[in-house]
Order: sequence, then C-alpha cells, then structure tokens
Amino acid sequence: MSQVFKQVCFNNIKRFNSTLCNSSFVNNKNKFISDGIIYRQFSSSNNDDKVTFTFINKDGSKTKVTEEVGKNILEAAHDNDVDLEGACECSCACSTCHVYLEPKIYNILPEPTDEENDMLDLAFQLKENSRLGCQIKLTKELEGMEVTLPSASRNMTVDGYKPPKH
Amino acid sequence: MFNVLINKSSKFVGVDSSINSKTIRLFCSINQVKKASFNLCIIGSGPAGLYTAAKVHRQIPHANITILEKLPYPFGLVRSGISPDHQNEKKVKNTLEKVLLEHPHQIQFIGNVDIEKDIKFEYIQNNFHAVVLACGIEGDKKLGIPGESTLKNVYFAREFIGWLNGNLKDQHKQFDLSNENLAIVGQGNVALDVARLLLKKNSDELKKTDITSTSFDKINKSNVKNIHIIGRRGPLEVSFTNKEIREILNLPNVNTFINDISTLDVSEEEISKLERAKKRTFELFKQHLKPFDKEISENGNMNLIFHFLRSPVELMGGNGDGEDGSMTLSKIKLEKNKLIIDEKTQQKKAIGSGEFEIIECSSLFRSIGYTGTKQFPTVPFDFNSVSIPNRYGKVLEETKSDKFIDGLYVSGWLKGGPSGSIPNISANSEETASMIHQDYEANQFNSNNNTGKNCDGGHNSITSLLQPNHKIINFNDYKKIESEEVKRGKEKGKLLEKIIVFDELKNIINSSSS
Repeated sequence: MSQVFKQVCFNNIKRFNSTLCNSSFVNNKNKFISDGIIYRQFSSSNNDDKVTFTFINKDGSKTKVTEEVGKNILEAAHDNDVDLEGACECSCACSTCHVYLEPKIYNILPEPTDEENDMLDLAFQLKENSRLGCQIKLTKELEGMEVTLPSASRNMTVDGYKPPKH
Repeated sequence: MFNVLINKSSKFVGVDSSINSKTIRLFCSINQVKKASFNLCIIGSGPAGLYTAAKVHRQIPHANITILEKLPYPFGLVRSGISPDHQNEKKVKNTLEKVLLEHPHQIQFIGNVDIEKDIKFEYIQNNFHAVVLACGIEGDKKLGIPGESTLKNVYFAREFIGWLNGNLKDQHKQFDLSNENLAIVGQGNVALDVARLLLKKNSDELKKTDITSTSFDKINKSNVKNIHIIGRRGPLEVSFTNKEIREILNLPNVNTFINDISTLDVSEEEISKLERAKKRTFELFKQHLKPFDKEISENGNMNLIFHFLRSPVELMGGNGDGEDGSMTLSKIKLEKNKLIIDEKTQQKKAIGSGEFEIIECSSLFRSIGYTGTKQFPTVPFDFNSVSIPNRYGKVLEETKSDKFIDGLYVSGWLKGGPSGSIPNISANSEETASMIHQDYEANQFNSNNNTGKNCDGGHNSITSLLQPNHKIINFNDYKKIESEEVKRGKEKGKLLEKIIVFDELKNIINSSSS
C-alpha cells in the first residue's frame, strides 16, 4: 500500500515542484532543492561524459540537471521532469521543444539546419536566440549554460497573436 | 518514512522522511473529500480535444473527462489530415495517445457518437458540469465562380487527403487523375500536399506509409504530367510554410517553373522589410523557380508550375462529355491580379487588373480555406472569423457580447479560426484548460447551483442517452482496429493498411471480443 501513496505523493510533488521556489527539501529520486533551484543528481563515477546545466522553467524557477554528453536538450528535459513538450519525438517536425539559449552558447553551436530553421519559423515567440531542444546535442562546451523555456502564460487573444496558416 | 508538508488548503507541497504512511493516507483522504466531483465532456478527439483533456487533467487531477468522437477512431486531422508521406508529423499521434493510455479512468474515449444526430447537444450539457467544443472546422470554401458546381472533376483538396488517409467519410469520392493537366487553387500547405503526393507517383517511400492501397494504386496509374498551383496573391504573401516549399522544390525528377517571372520582381527594400520566415520563402522561390520552358517541360519529368497573382474567374467545360449530359472541366480562365494596400486593414490585397489568360486543365482541386458551419443550434457561430465567439476559450452568448454561456468552452480551430498546427493548438488548449480550472476553483460547477441539472451522470449517462443498439467504440476497441491495421500493413510491407469500411471495423471489434 505504502508504495501507492508514495506514488500519489510523488505525482503531487511533480505537479508542485515548479512552484517551489523557497529554500526547501524534496528528497526523492536523487533530487533536492536549495536556494530555489531544483537539483538533480545522478550517481556517476566518471564526470567526463556528463554535463551540468540549468533549465529556466516557464514560471521562472530553475532546474539544474546533470546529463550524459550526446543526449539532446529535449531528452535532458524529459529525464528531469522539465515541462518541455516535444510532441513529434525529436523528429524536427513540430517545434514544441522551442527554447532560448544564451547568446554565448548560441554562437558556439553549429548553425541550425534548413530543416530546423523551417520549424523555428513556426515556433511561438521566436527570438534571435531560439533553437529547437531536440536538435541540440549536449557537449562539454555547454557546461553551465542556461536554457530558457518560452513562457506558458501567453494570452493569445490579448496579444493579438495570429497563428501561421496550416 | 516520509515527511509530508501540507499548506493551508491541504495541498501537498513536498515530502521528506519522518511521518509514517498512515499519516499520508489521512492527508490524502482529506484532499479527496474536499474536492467536488467534476464531469467534463470534450467533443472532438483531435489534437485540440486531447491536449485540452491532458491540460485539464493536470490542473484538476480528479476530473472525470469524457471525450466524444464522431468517427470510430481518435486523433482527428493527425490521422486523416496529415499527408501520409509526412510520418514525422504523424508521430504527434503517439504523444496524443499517451493522454488516453496514461489515465484510463480519468480520461475516457467514446467514438462513433455524432452530436445532434445520435445525442442532442442539450442532453450532453445537462449531464456534465462543463462541455468543451473541440471538433474543428469542417466546411471547405468554394471559389464562387461560373462552372464550379456544374462541371465534373472539380474537387476539394482536403477530401483528397482524407481519402488517401483512409478517412471513412471520404471513401466514396472518385478523383479523375487520367488527364495531363491538373490545377490546384490555393497557396497553403494542403495545396502543396496534393501536388507533392501526385509528384511522388511510383515512390517506394510512399508505398510503405499508411496510405490506403486503393489510393496509392490510383496515384501510380495517374497520367498527370503538369501540375499548376494557382493563387491570387504574390510570392511574399503565400501561406505555404518553408518546410513544405523546400520539400516540393527539391523533389527529384520534377521541373519547377513559374508561369510569369515578373511576379518574382520584388525590390530589395521590400525584401529587407520582410519577417524572417517570408524572407526565406522568397529566397527559395527565387532559387528554384525558372521561367516556363517548353523544351525542358518535355524532358520526361513531371512539371510543377506556380502561378502567382492569378485568380480563377471561370471554369469552362468541353470535351469528354459524360453520358448523363454533364460536362467535364477543360479550361480555366484566370485574371491577373495586382496588389494594393487595403486602407481599412493596411494589409496587401489582390485585385483584378482586367487582363485574362486561359490554361488547359481537366481536374481541379480547391484548397482556399474553410467556412464554418453552425453545428449546434444553441451555440453561436461567427462566420466572419470562422470560429465560435469566446474569450480565452469561454464561449460568449454572441460576438462582441460580454456575457458568457456558463459551462461551455471551446478549443482548437473552433476557438481561434481554422489555422495553426501543433504548437499553436497546444497553447490554445492550455488557455482553455486554465479557464476551466479557474472556474472550477471558483466553484462555478457546483451541481447544487444549477437546479434541474443533474451533472453527476457524466460518462455513464452517454450509453443511456444513445439508442439501445448504437455501437459505441471505446479506446480498447480502437486499439483492436489499430492492431488489425498494423497486421494487414505488415503483410503488405507498409506501416498500416487502414480499414476503410465501417462494417469491417465493427466485425473486428466484435470478433476479437468474443
């Protein structure tokens, strides 16, 4: 039985962890919080093939993650319960994994391909530093970067936003 | 074991490790008791319906959500509207399916229920605390020109895409692809889908998708050689997206032409003012479109010819008259357009110049947008914006009214008009879900407030509202259909062989359940 309740609790935590900004304590699945940042730790003996970076969530809270080199940003988000969508399963066909990168990081990455640019054309709130999370592989160079998720609280009617034609 | 931190409204905010599991159980049950039951009905199981369900579930985890669908299967245009050669886009289906798989008790699918025909809309409203309309926009816009409704071989592009995607209601359609010249009117992605599929004749890649075998054979046997894409606006105003333009212009063994090269004359200054996506669109046209050349057009490749700034003004009939005396399309009369700035909207607008030209063509597909239909007598519809009047997803009594219709919401194309793909629908549904959550928190759905309305029926009331012998299709039934489609596909070396006869679907469901 207690397993079930653990799950209930965990689900609740998952839902509320994005609102946890004060210094707090979640101790679950290698996760703890300090100074308003949710940390994820993975037991690893060798840090050479890991990179640590931070997601800035839709509500402004931060999630610090440590992930294997070679994974992409979208996979890293999903591994760590970061609310980045990715509806087309990393096949560069939907632009729901759109993120913003810091200019210094944006500049060291290879240029987006035509295919990625075509999808970025359709992304919400496109900026100069926009990229698709699924197209960016983690490398050691990206250590310490901040990846910002576009804000969810977009009010389409008020902004007068017109979606691109289907 | 755990330490549970609970704030004043008895919501969990975290766990650490010293209170035992009994305490947790106690808090859990307090949490449960305080929540009023909430029955939500979503009409439509396409991306808008399923995204709304997922997002409501996330905010109101104990909501009982019933999703009603007219067709026997879920996923809307993801199943029937995305072209079969775009399997990457169709992967969105897996994401949508998770909504139904992961919450089988909270979110339930009921297919083959047509509102108004099988159940009156007001009965649904009476049995649920809230209803979300997410059933999209169905009507196709007509050109409104002479010959359009009298001549044979004039079709809607969307029906063609539905037909080759195995959509049940499009299966009776016949498309004549036996002539050399075919025209598509419209400058959106659906127009390019039709063209691209015809250009992919004999493609092994297409054969292995979920395209129906009947339609694949038909495309393979087509005699179409010249595909004309006609639109009233110029290259800077098209609604094609760059991914689709790039794909079609790079197809092997296709000559890509422009009928009137002067339509690509745009000043540097004008280009510099364009937004990023439009700039890239223009570059693609400039790079790939060559003036029409008769000699090259005879080199054995198929020809794709873009006609910008042209409006069809008349369809003409001629040869190949049918036995029933009806005439078949043979020519299209086009008027050249020029662009002016509309004083009211400050947008570019195409107007006729009085100059005409005629092109030969024996089949025509219209893909110029959608018109709405008023599907439910008690729900307002704004035919100008092709959507249901609403504010942030909550339905208004009429356009420009300040009064809401209680408990009625809208998501997807019905909410913002018929455009926008997955990212837009996701955000659009999120907004509606937030409105529902807000109203729920404000106790607007308390059954006691609505006298004469018993909203406790919810999901269970659906079967009692239907005729006794009505066949409903639940999610497990759909999975049976799908596994049969996969099985038949495997036998033919393709992804899926869709089942296109309703009685066959029924038999599959019945035979595997016995």
